[in-house]
Amino acid sequence: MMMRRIADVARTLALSACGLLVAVAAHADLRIDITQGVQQPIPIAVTDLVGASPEAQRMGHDISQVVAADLERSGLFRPIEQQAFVQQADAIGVQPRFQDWRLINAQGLVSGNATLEPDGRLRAEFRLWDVFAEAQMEGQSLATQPQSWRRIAHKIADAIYKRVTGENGYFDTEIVYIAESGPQTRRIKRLAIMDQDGANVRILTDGRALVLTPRFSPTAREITYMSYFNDRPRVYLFNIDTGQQEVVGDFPGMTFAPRFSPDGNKVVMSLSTGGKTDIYEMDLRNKHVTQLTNTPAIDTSPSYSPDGRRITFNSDRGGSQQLYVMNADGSSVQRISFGAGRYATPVWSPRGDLIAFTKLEQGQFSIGVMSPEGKGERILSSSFQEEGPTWAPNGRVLMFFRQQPTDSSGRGGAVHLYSVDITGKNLREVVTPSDASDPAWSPLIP
Amino acid sequence: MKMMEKTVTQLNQNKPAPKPSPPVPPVPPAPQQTASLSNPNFKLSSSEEDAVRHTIAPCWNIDPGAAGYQSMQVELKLTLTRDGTVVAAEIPNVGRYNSDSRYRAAADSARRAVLNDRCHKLPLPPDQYANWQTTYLTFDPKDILQ
Repeated sequence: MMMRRIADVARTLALSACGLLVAVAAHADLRIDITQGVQQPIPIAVTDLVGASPEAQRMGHDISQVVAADLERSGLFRPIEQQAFVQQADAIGVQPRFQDWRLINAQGLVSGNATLEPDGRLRAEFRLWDVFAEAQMEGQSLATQPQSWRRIAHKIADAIYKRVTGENGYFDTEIVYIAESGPQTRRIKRLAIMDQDGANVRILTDGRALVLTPRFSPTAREITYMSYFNDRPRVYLFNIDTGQQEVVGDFPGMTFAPRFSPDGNKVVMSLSTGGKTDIYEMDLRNKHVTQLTNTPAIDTSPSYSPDGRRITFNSDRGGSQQLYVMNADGSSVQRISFGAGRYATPVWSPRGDLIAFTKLEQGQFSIGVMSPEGKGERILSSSFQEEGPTWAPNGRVLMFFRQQPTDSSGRGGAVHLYSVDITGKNLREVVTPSDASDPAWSPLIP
Repeated sequence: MKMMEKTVTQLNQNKPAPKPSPPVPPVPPAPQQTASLSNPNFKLSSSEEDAVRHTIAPCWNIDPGAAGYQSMQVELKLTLTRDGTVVAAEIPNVGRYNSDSRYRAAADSARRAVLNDRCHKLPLPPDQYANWQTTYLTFDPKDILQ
């Protein structure tokens, strides 16, 4: 009898246990899809890098200002005014009081210090904090000569951009462009270079020869550009660090728009001979030239895909100027633009997903993008005249130049550089000391 | 131009030691009968789900310019108090978080949304707390146009 009771109790407990297991196993957590959001800059607090000496303190302040300006100019961040800070930079130490930064709605916080080391170098350390998660997101220490403090700032901004967006930054880069001066009828055009934020402008040529279409090497600190010497166009190679230049080629007829291959070993360009213009490729190592197109039409403005396997260019072979894509050996040519108007100056994004172009339709110039298959055309900017798009090395931002109309007396015609995000937002003028045209964006500086 | 002489050192996250993850305030102990009260078939009504979406939407910052943003789905596991406040937001896919910088950026963005003071209190039915004290959110931008 007793044994039977024990067995019944055991059975009941076992069933209860099974029931509990069933209840736990059947428990399901709530799941919800979030499908709506907003597009707005991320509020970020960039404190001055704290310096132990007045000079280091000043450099820490200057670095922070450039970092904040870089981030703000991207359109993806909104630096918070320092006057709003509750906790001061020198009190942050190694652990911010996150509640103080939540109070001013900062989502990111940048803190750090600047030190002038005994060997004369400037060292900057920074940390990026996630205010809501109360955790460090990034931290780096960088050192350089004090005169290169702006590059430290750009590198810090790049690190922050990469950690927050997941994509490489583009702040430690340069822009080469044509600096223009003088009346429209006697325009002086000189090769110039500056940091991407417009600082450190340097003029590279003296203006005696007309220069056109500068382009950066993707792998070396070199620029190609065209210059007219004794009224003959030549393609030059200019070393940015040494200032030395050499003639790449002295081609018969007209030469247009040389552009490097992604590996830096080749240059693709168009040559005009015998009344027709075709695409040619030159191997810079042995100067061997290969003709890639051969039609009676005008084929110009070639640009490689980032993997170097394809080339986009524009051609009027179909009756109007349109965009085409072909293999890098000239085979499998396909037209990709079919919209109204004329398309020109295609440039393949370093990200590979888009081709930027200039479009002329009903007297209006536009800068736009479309996929390499010709889908999803989007106009990013339009005006009286604008052209010459160039990509930031991360494929996120385009720069181009815009020219104002001239009046009947020849006044006006000012030409300036602009940048725009690939979403079509954040259109901004890039301020230069003189008129500026034909920009080309460098890769990230090594 | 003078080349920059530089050294870049990754500053250790633990030395000095910042917090590696968000603090988790103590969650009020769930009543003992919680397990038995949870309903495996529990679902929010459409309007209740929309209310949650509308609460989080103003704080979820998406970036339509990011490469492949429309295919970047992120899941968060939330721990909530009885009044609907998010007290912890975990990113379950740790492997991808640590290896894919774009996923990590998207996951951090989603986490900032639910930890934002403006959006961290979700309108959920208190009498059903057992069914949503752990909630999974999937942030899915595929229908958000550039």
